[in-house]
Amino acid sequence: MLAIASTSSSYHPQGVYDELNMKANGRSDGECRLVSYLNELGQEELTRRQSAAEMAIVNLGITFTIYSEGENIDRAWPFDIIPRCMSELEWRRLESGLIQRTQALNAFIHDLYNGQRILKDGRFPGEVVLKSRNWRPQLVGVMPKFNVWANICGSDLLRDKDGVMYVLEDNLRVPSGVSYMLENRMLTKRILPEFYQNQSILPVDDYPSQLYDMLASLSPRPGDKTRVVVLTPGIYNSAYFEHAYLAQQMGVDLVEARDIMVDDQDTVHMKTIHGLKQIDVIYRRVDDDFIDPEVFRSDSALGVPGLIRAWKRGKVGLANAPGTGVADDKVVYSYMPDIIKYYLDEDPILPNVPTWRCHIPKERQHVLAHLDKLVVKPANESGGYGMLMGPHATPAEREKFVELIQANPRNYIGQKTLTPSTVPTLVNGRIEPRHVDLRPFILSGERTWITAGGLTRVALKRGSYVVNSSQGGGSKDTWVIADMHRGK
Amino acid sequence: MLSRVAENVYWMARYLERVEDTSRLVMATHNTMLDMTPVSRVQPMNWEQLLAITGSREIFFKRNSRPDEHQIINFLIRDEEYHGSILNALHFARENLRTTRELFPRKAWEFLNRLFLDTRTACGHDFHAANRLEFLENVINECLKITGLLDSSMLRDEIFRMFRLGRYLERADMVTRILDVRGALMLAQKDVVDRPLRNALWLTVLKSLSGDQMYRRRVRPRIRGVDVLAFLLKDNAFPRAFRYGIEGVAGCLGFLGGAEAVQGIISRIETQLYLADITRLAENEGLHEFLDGLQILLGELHMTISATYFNQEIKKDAPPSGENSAGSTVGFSSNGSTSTSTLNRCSRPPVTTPFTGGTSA
Repeated sequence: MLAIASTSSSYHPQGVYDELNMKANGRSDGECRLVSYLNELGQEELTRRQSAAEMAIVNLGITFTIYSEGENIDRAWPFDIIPRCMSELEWRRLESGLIQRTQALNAFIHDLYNGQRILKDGRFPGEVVLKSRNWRPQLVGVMPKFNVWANICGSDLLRDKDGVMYVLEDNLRVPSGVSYMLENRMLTKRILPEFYQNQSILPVDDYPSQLYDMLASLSPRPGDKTRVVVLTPGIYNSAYFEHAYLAQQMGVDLVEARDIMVDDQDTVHMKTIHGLKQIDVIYRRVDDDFIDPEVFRSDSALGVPGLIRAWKRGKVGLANAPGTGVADDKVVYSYMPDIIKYYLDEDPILPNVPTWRCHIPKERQHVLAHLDKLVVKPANESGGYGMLMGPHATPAEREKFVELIQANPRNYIGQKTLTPSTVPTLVNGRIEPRHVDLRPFILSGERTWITAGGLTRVALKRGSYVVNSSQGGGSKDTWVIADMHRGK
Repeated sequence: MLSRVAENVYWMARYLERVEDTSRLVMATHNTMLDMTPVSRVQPMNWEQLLAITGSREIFFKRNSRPDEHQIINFLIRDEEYHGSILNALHFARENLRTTRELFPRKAWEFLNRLFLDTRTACGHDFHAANRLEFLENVINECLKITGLLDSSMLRDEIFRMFRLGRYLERADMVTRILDVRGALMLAQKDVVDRPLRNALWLTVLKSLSGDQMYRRRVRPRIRGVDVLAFLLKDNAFPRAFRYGIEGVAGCLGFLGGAEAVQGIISRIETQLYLADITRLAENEGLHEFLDGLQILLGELHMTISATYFNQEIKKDAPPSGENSAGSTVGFSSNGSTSTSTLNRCSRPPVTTPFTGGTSA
C-alpha cells in the first residue's frame, strides 16, 4: 500500500491520518518523487545522512537552551531529515485562512484599545478580556503604525484524523521557531541535494528580508537611516540562538536591555563605542511583563525604563506591540469565528478545534462531564504547560482539574482531543510514523506576508503528541511543492 | 558598535590569541627541553618558567604539589580552575563569540565551537610526552584557521578593528612576558652557558613566537642574543614583534577614533622603545626593569581602552537632520553584572619579580 514500505516493513501508521499513506492514491507528483527518492537511497544511506545532519548541527552550533538546576545547557537542535510535504494547492488555502485570521485578530486588538466597538455591540463578552492578565489598561488609546499590533504571529496548525487542518492556537506574544525553519531548509539542501534537482519547492529564505522590511516600515522617521534592533533577554533565554540568528540575518544589532536607554525627550538610544545612537524600531523578544519596569513589573532587570513612554509618544516602533497578548488567550481563540465575522464580514476559512469555555455554565458542565475525553488548557499559558490530557490522565489529576476549573472558570477551556497526523520519520535507522504539527509565521505591517510552509515540529517518541523541543520534540523541513503539472 | 559588543569582541580576540600563544609556548619549550642534556652544569631553561611567563605560579601551587613537567603541562592545557589554561581560554573565547556571533562570518562560530568541543574531549585525558605535540599543533592550526577566516572575509569595519585591537595587545603582552622570563634568565647566566646552548635557547624564544624563519630572513642566518632582542622588540615588519603590535594597536585606535587618552600612552610606549639601548639591554643591564615598564604601560593601555569604549561617560549622537537640540551628556554606568561574559575577562597578572631560579647542581 505504501511505496515506502518496501524499505521499511515497520511503517504501519494505524488509527491516524498519515500524510503520505492516506494519499497513496492521490499523492502529488512531488510526494511520489520523495517516496521513490527515499526508497532509492535505502535505509543505510538514510542513516548515514541523518548522522551527517546531526554532525552539521553540532558544528554549526544550532542549539536551544534549557535550564537545568540553575545551569543553562545548550542542546543540539533535534532534526529529522525526512521532509514533510504539502501540495501548493493545499498550502494556498491555509495561507489565505491564516491571513484572514491575522487581519481579524489585529482589528480586534486595535478595537479593544481604541473604542471597544465589539464590546459595545455585545458581540464579545467584555469581562473576558478586561479581566485577563494580559489586558494592559495603561495602553488604551495607543495607535501603532498601520493599526497593527501583532506584527509577527506564529499560528499552530494540526491535522486531525479527518484530514482537516485545524488552528490550535495563535501565538501573538513572542512566537519563536522561525530560525529553525530556516536552518532546517539549509540542512535539507545540504543533506538531500539530489532531490532539489528538477524539483520546485517553494523557498523560505526570504523571511529575514521580509522581516526587516516590515520592521523598518514601523519607523517613526522613515528613510535610509532607520535603525532597527533585536532586543533579547540575553544568553540564558531558551531562544537566544534565534535572536542572534535573526539579528545576523537582517544585519542589525542584537541588544540587551542594558545596552539601551530612554532619554528625557523619550527617544530611545543604544550605547555604542561612539556614544548614544538613536533607535527607531525594536523587535523585542522580551515579554510585556518585563519590558518596562516603569509600567509593568518593577522588578524586571530585562526591561528598559521609559520604553513604553517612548512608544506611546510615537518615538520608537515596537514589534509586537505591547498589549498584543490580550488576544493570545484560549478563550479569545474560541471566539475567532465571531471575531472574523464581525470585523471582516467573512466566514472563517480555517476551522477552530471544537472548544468549550468554562466561564459559560452550560459549556463548563460539558467539560466537567467529559474530563476523560477532553484536553483542558489554561487560557493564558503557552508551551504546553499546565494542561490536562484527559484520556491519559489519572483520576487524581482529573479531580485536581475539577477544583481548578471551579475555582477559576474564566481561566480554563476544554477542547476536543485531536490525534495529530503522522509523517514518516527516521527513528534509530527505521522509518516510522510520528505525530507532527505546523507553525507558519505571518508578518503584518502595511501588508501581510507569510512563510511558505513553516516549522514542522515532530514528537520523536513513539505515540507521543508532545512536539516541544524542551520535552522530546524535534523538527523537520517543510516542503510546499509547486505542482508543476497543474493545468495539464 | 555597541559598547557591550565591543568588549566581547575585544576579549574574544585576546583569549583566542592567548590560546594560540600558550600552545606555541608549550610546544617550543617541549622541543627544546628534549635537547637539554642532564650533564649540563646549568639549566637555563625549565618548565617552571612557563608559570612565570603566564603569571600563574600562585594558582598553580594552590592546585599542584610539584612543579614538574607533567603537572605544569596539564595545568597549562586543561586545568579547570585556571582561567588562562588553553581549555578555559577557549571556553571564554567561545562564550564571548556566542554573544556576538551574529557579527562574524558564520564559519567563525562553526570553527571555534568545533575546536572547543574537540579540545574539551581531548582534555578528558592526561597529556603525556607522546600525545601533547599533536594536540598543540592542532590547536594552533585551528586558531590560524579562524583568524585567517576573519582576515579574509570580514569587512574592515569597527568590529574587525576591535578584534585586531585585542589581538595586537595580547601579542605585545606575550612578547614582553617571554623576553622577561626567558631572556633575563639567559642573560643572567650568559657567562656559564656555552654558546651552542645559548643559541638554542634564543631559538626557542623565537620559535615561541613563530619568529625563527622570519628572523633568519630579516636579520641574519646566525642567531645572536642582541639581534633577537632587537628583532622581537623593535622590528616593524614582523607581526609578532612588540613594535609591530603597538603600531597595530595605534592603527586600530586611529580607525575607531575618540581615543585621545589612549594615544598618549601609545606615544609613551613608542618613546621608551625608541630610546631603548638594545646593546645594553642585551648585556642584561636593566632588561627586566625595561620590560616591566612596558608591561605597566600595556596595563594602562588596557584600562584606558576599557574606559574609552566599554564603560564610558557617553555623549549623545548629533541629532538627525535638525531634529532635537544639541546633544547632552548622559552618564551610564558600566555593564550590569548579569552577563556571563563579564566574568570571562581577565588580564594576566604581570611578571612581577624577575625569575632567576633554575641553577641546578
